[in-house]
Amino acid sequence: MKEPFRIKNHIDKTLTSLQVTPEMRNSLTRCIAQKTRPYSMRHVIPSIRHHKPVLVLTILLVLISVGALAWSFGPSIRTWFEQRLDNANVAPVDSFQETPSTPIASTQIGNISILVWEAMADEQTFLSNVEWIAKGNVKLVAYSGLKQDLPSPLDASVVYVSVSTWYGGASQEIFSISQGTENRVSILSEGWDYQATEEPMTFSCSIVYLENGQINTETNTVSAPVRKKQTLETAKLRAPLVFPITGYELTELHMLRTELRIYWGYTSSGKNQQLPYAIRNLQLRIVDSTGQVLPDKLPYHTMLPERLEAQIEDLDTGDIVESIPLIHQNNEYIAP
Amino acid sequence: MIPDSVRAAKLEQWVDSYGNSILRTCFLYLADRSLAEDAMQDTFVKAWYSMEQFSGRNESSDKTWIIRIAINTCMDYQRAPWFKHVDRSRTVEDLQIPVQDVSEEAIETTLAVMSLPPKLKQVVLLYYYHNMTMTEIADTLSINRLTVHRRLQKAYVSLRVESEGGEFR
Repeated sequence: MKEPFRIKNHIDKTLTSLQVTPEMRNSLTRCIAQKTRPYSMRHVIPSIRHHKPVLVLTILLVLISVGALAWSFGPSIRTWFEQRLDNANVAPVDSFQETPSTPIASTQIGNISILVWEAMADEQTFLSNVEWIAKGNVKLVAYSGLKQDLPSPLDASVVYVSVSTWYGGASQEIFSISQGTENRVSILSEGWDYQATEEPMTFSCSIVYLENGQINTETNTVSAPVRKKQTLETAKLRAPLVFPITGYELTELHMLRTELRIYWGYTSSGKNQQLPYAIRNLQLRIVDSTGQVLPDKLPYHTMLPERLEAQIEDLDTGDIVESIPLIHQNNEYIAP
Repeated sequence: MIPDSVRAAKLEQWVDSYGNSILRTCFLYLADRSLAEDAMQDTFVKAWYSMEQFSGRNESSDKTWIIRIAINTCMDYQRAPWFKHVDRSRTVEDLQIPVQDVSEEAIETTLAVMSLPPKLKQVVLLYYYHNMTMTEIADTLSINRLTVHRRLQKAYVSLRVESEGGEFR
């Protein structure tokens, strides 16, 4: 069974040019002298086994110190961080925290592989991560999918990529490129109005390319299972809020960090309601500190408001009949 | 404790004797010239630091020992998360090594070995390229001798199929 294909001979002939050069030797000597790893900037811990007892003792001491510190200051540090986070008021976007090591779905158009790494959604929003990998002499460029976005003149060596996420007959075609190299483009997309009933999520993937001076489009679809997105509640109303004059009651108010959504509910039992408000056409609304009425869905990347105001508006006259300010404090909206 | 001058001389001797074959092995594993050069140097740096330990054991030849370090180093590189997402080229042009005056048969054999699944490639390289015995391979890879034999047979069939398919003769 030895040498059935003259492997050694063939490999040595093919790889003749791969030889240890004087530069490599110098680099090796330098690495050993400086106790560093070759080429890269990684550092080698020098012979730690000679210092094992010292190392173990040091690790133990560090662990004990960290434990003691956490024991004594843990609660206050946590409170401090929470306050800092609250003060920052920046609502982080739900992210792909555990990107899987294998794609959840994939397809191929010619020399281009399309990999869907992740698709997440809740009842309202979706996030997806799609990657395009080109083999051979093709350069990928992502664009928004509209023909007028194509540069003029077109570069014949470039394949312009468009990806669409389809749901319920409507497509979301605005994408941001998170990273791109010459032969791979990653596209993270996000959007509203995802209908959770429509699973799996279908990606319509098209490439636009030039052939004999003509623009051609080739499309393929790939369906990917959707992972449930975690909804993190950021702030809610501490207790129902009673408007003494109109008798209205704000029963719930939620600001959701991941969805950046506000919703509320209110009732008017008529109890304690003063005349003449019982016969007026009233409505509750929430405004921010600038007096802007908040829609029930806030635009993406909106800051979480520090101060809000719940107002009872007379729809006939446009007057504000009654208002109660609300302050965001420790994940709750309270009336001061 | 081995004096530094002795260690340096030993390392020099190892690089002279095994440097090229280790570099080529790393290349066949990683399919990337720069990575292979890194891995080769990493191997010898590790060998330098473990020289004393090795001298004390003396249970296998220094060549076998260095090859084992090289294989483990390459496997570490392959385990890196980014490595999994890189398209490993399999064409001569993409190998970025000059192959002038090399027969087509030699190139195709090399590419065929490179395309073998990792476990089969391991045994093929150790057995055919480094001329190790099955027992030495079993020892190096910490696997059963029978497993080595089975993998070699599988690799043989795989290479034979490619050969008959006209990929190489």
